[in-house]
Amino acid sequence: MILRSFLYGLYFGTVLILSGLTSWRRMAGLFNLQDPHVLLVFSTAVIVAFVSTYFLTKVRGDQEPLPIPTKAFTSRTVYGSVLFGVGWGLTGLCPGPLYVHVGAGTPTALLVLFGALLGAIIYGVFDERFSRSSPVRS
Amino acid sequence: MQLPWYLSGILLGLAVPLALWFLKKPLGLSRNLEHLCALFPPIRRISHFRYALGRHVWSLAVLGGIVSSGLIARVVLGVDFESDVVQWVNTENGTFILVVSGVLIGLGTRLAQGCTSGHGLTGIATRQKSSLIATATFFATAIGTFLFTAHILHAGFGGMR
Repeated sequence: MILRSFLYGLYFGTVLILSGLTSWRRMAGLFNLQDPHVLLVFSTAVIVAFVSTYFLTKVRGDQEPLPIPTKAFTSRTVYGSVLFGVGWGLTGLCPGPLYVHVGAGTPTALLVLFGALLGAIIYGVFDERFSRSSPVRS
Repeated sequence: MQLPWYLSGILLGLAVPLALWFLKKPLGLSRNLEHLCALFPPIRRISHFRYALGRHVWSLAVLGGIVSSGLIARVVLGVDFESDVVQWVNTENGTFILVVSGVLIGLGTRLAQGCTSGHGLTGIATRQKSSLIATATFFATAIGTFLFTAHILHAGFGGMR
């Protein structure tokens, strides 16, 4: 399982690099509305993912259901995405390309990763406080 | 080397069913930020991070593979990442801006329960309303942020052209 996961990560990271999604020039082209490359890659990926996942569900037939999580829609979905969008727009790094850049050791990525870990800690503290004040805490 | 957009899109899109079939797990990368925090004993004093990491080792292994792809590309294949990152680092307050951006990425993706992979790819491919809204929101916000900083503040985007 660990080896499979590692190989999967190698595949995913390599695809990110070959797709230009780790390139600031490409990301700036998306954000600046000048270069359709990233939008085309992403749209194609979404369509391919949609169709291929559908067929995977069909092929598997009566086997155990696919491990697909359902994510609840709350106000956090929106304001979390707004915060993420600002960070993404400022750096061109979403988590996947960020991890690739961390491997490549760019100082920019190491600083962003440091911040992202801080952000995760802030979330953890916030989530804890939030849960404590709610009666459903177990 | 970069592949044409259609090949890139196909290989990237196939990552979603590949994870479901090969790993029996949904693709999503932002939660690893929490797992990384949970690796550090001092951070585990916060009750949120006091969960068993065993069930998430696979996810950290995926992260390890992604990080390794960057390392291999740079060291073995000599890919130049350094000249193709945002150039804040060379500006005044650049370090601060990068760390704050990181905080926004970490806090935001965890609040939203997903990023470009978990919401953008897996979530939309499995027709989830929250993912569609999240993806539309962070694309729009990122574009708005860029246009505002680049064209109104004229800041920080050297190396773009």
